[in-house]
Amino acid sequence: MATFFGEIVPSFSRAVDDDDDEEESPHVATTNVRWSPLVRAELLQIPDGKLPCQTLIVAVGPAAAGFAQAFILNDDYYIVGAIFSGMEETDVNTFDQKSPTDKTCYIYRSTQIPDAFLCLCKTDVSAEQSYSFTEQLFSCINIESKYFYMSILCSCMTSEYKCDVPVSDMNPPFLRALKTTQFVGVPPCKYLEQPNLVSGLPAQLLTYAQIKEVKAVLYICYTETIYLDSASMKIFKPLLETTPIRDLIQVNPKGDEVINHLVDMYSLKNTMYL
Amino acid sequence: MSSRYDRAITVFSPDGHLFQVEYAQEAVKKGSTAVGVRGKDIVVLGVEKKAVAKLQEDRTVRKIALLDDHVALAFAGLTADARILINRARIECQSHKLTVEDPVTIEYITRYIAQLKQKYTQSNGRRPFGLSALIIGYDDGPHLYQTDPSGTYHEWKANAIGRSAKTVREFLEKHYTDEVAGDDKECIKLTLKALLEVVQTGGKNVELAIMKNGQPLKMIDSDEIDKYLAEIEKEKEEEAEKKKAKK
Repeated sequence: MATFFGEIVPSFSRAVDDDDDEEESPHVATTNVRWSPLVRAELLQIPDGKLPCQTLIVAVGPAAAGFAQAFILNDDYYIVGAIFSGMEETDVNTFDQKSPTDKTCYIYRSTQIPDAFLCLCKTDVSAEQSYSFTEQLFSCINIESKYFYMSILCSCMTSEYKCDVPVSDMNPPFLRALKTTQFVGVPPCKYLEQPNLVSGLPAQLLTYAQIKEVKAVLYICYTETIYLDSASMKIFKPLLETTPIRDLIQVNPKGDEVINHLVDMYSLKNTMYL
Repeated sequence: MSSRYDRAITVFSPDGHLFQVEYAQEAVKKGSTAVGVRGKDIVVLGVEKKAVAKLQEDRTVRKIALLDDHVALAFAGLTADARILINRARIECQSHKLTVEDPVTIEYITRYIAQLKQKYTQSNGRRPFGLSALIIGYDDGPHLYQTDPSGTYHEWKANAIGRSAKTVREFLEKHYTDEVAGDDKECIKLTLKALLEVVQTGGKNVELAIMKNGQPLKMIDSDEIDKYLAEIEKEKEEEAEKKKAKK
């Protein structure tokens, strides 16, 4: 609408309430970490308030967490902390948080190798939350040791994977890797090809490692199933031979059983696809 | 990239894809594996049973359905879509019998199913059937057909649909021979072996059905499956020993 002086002013409709424009930016819940009393007592005795760490394995998502649970986690590990984020109102957890399908995120520590930590993240951490998640995770873990290694495991859908061949010609599940410049080893699978991107928590963790100039490697499993299946968990198996996981594991003959059990737990109840 | 050409089923992308139909084929892979093997006098259908909830009646969770006395079908994909398709096919079987006084041929009923599926890919406001089917039956001989969401159908000597179908098909290609086809027992064993390649939790979760000339569909019970499994296990051991002896 032009005024008397010729300048153009936008005309607002009075039919709608103008206040609608000022939508509040969505509230991003921050992440909290709680450490066990044992660790808190230990932290008091360390001058910089951080647990020394040489090996950190972070498994994000049910497939990676399932693999870690079956082949890395054993009786030797105990829970030292829990990270709370990514819970939605619709998520149902059991009261004691022990059911395998519960959306939990626990940090485990090995009794034999006290500077080895394992973080199993089964919650859905959104991209906005991943910054605070990373900050919280490393708030009490000291990664400045020159022997520090970090492995991040996660999974994505093949439909998000970009390449020349159609989805039907891929052979999922398959693994891809990304690493920080300090990581000198050669991963047992191909590097993630351009123009593929990793996003969310795994990307945040790897970026953090790159900024802090520590050795870290990220493994992504591309899977085609929306439900957890044994193939997408077992695809991580070659990683058991790689640093730093190699140094942590004991032979676990019951791994396959655990995986079968997990598949059972997750695949139950849904007959939408037969 | 698929950019926006995947919104309507009736729109081709510039490079000739019908994305919605291709996505429906992805839905097929969400289903568990089904394997079909055609022998000289037998046709075998094997499926991976999904674990059901503890309190669910597993009688009502079926991947194999009978269409007529001499035709059966195993599907992989959306269960509810399958129910509709099976109902339509059953009605067609009966109506065919009434009009021409002959039971349907396997090719006829497959063509009918494929036609129905194709209809749902060529007009607006519809969605393709999210399932593939293996259709077995006996008319002048044993037959095995496969249909997919696009409405394509072909006859096969042996084929697989569903999760990891590619792996199973490769296995079948390697192991299907005229010798195997000539022996009923070997056909059953081949089906079982092919399924075991991809089944998540071993032989307990397998369902087998066979059809022979003039006989109704026979579901093989779990005791008999166990026997076949034991035989397969034994063969494997023998082979392993042979290999050792050679070394």
